[in-house]
Amino acid sequence: MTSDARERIVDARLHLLGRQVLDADGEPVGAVDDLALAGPEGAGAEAGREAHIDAILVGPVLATRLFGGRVPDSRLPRIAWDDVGHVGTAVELTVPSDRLDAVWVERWVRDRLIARIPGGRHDPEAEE
Amino acid sequence: MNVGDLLDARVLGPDGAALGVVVDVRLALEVVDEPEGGPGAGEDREEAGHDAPLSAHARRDAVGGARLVGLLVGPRGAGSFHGYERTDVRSPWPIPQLVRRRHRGTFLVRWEDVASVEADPAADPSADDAKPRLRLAPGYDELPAGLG
Repeated sequence: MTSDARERIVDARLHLLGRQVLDADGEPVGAVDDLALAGPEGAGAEAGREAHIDAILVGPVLATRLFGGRVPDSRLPRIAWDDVGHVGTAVELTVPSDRLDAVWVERWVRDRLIARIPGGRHDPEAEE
Repeated sequence: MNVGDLLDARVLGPDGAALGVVVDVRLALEVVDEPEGGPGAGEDREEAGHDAPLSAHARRDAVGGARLVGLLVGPRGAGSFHGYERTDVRSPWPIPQLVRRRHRGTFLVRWEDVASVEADPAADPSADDAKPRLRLAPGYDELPAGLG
């Protein structure tokens, strides 16, 4: 290994980009679309200066993959790297998805649309 | 700056010579101890040989911070890597051998050796996804690209 025991060397494209993101309960949140870099003390990443991964960007990139262009960073939901617990074949978070802004669309659809359909509030997986 | 901005960006040497493009971004994940020594800690899978299925090598680590180590620069563009050229996987023959041949000359440069990330004048300025251009610092090292 090129690393010591306390570090694991990974390549972004090979090991992280496109991997599924699971929340603390194992529910899928999305896929890793991009990784935001930051410098020390919250500054922006600069060439040659120490930099680390600040956040996972998950988001609606299907349209841009099909039609080109890119979604502005401000429109891509971010998940702080601090919330990442494990990295394996998937990226596992330590927080439940209810606490993430990244899934607000799903939450909005559930609360505003699905909940209004008769029977929509029934959770089929809930214990009786 | 995002990792996606760096991927596929053109890389120039200190003298302006084109060296290739960024094919991947190497990171170091800080591995932290599992509170309860949970499953998949990694060590128990080390004995899997080189011809074991890739899933036997799959690791699941509790991680802390992720540090940017450097950039993998390939002379022939990204193509599809499959990761063969950075591991010692030999099968299924001949795919790893062909992929490795295509990506001969890929090297790792440390992030400290990147002098600047600037807008690429050769790129179409009207394109939304214009890639930046990277220039390396004088005396940069070409390190082996293997993941070890």
